[in-house]
Amino acid sequence: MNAVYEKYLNTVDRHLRPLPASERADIIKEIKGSILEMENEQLPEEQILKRLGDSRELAKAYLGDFLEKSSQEKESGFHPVRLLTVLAFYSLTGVSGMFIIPTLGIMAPALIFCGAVAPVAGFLKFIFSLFGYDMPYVVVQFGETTLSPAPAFLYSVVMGAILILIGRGAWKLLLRYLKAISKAKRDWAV
Amino acid sequence: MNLDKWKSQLARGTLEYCILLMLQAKTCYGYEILQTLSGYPVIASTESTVYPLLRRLQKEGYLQSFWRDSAEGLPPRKYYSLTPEGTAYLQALNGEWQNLLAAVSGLRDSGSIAASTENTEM
Repeated sequence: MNAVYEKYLNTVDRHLRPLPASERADIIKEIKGSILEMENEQLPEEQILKRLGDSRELAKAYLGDFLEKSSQEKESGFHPVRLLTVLAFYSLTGVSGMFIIPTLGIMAPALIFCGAVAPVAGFLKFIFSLFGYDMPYVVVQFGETTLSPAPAFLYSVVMGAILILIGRGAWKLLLRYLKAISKAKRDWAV
Repeated sequence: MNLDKWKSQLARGTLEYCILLMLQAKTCYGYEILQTLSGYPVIASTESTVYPLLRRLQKEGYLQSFWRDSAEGLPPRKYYSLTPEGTAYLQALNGEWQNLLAAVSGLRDSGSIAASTENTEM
């Protein structure tokens, strides 16, 4: 196959860019096959090129179908109602996401972390108190009254469990929110 | 002249049917289809119409295809054949084609009768 045909096929390939690479390769392979069959029949080069026609037109013949189909499927064309739908979708998710995503995103790990640390600290304070050592910084205090190490440990376990539960709840809420958005995006086709 | 325009519309409208008929007879590769079509000037077509059409018919599920290496000195060939959906589609087209033929022959008959009665009156 000579350089003229290589160049021709390259031009066709370039104009097929909107198509997936595998499909493009298949199309080019089939056209190349046609050229080789014609060469094999001793057809002169100009006759072969004349029959194939303009390389851009040939590519367009494949694309015409593709563009028409994808516009029907995705409805990506301009339409007033569609524009409003798109605006509504992004306003809604934009504003709500600005608050919901960071709030839940920070709450979830922070609460889970606190919930895990609190019982550990309570436990250590309790153990230390058994050896007569008062651990500093770890204190359970309600106003003026301070709990002694044993009830403080109990209290830290209960509170830790509650914090972890709330943290997990926030995390699940965040996932559900994100799923709902992507589902809405699909359903509304925006 | 208007005749050329009409002929190209006729070819475009029937090409799909002709290709399906060809594939009903046997599995063909793309270039083979082009060669067979070129034997009938009225529907002779080039790569730029036939190949995209084959691709569309395949996407719609009427055709299936596979590549096969050829004898030495020849390029690999992409073969096409009808799927069951394609066969059903072709049967529907056959029915429509009969309707068209019946309509045309009916109109031609009444046209020729009118023409002949006109002739006898003169």
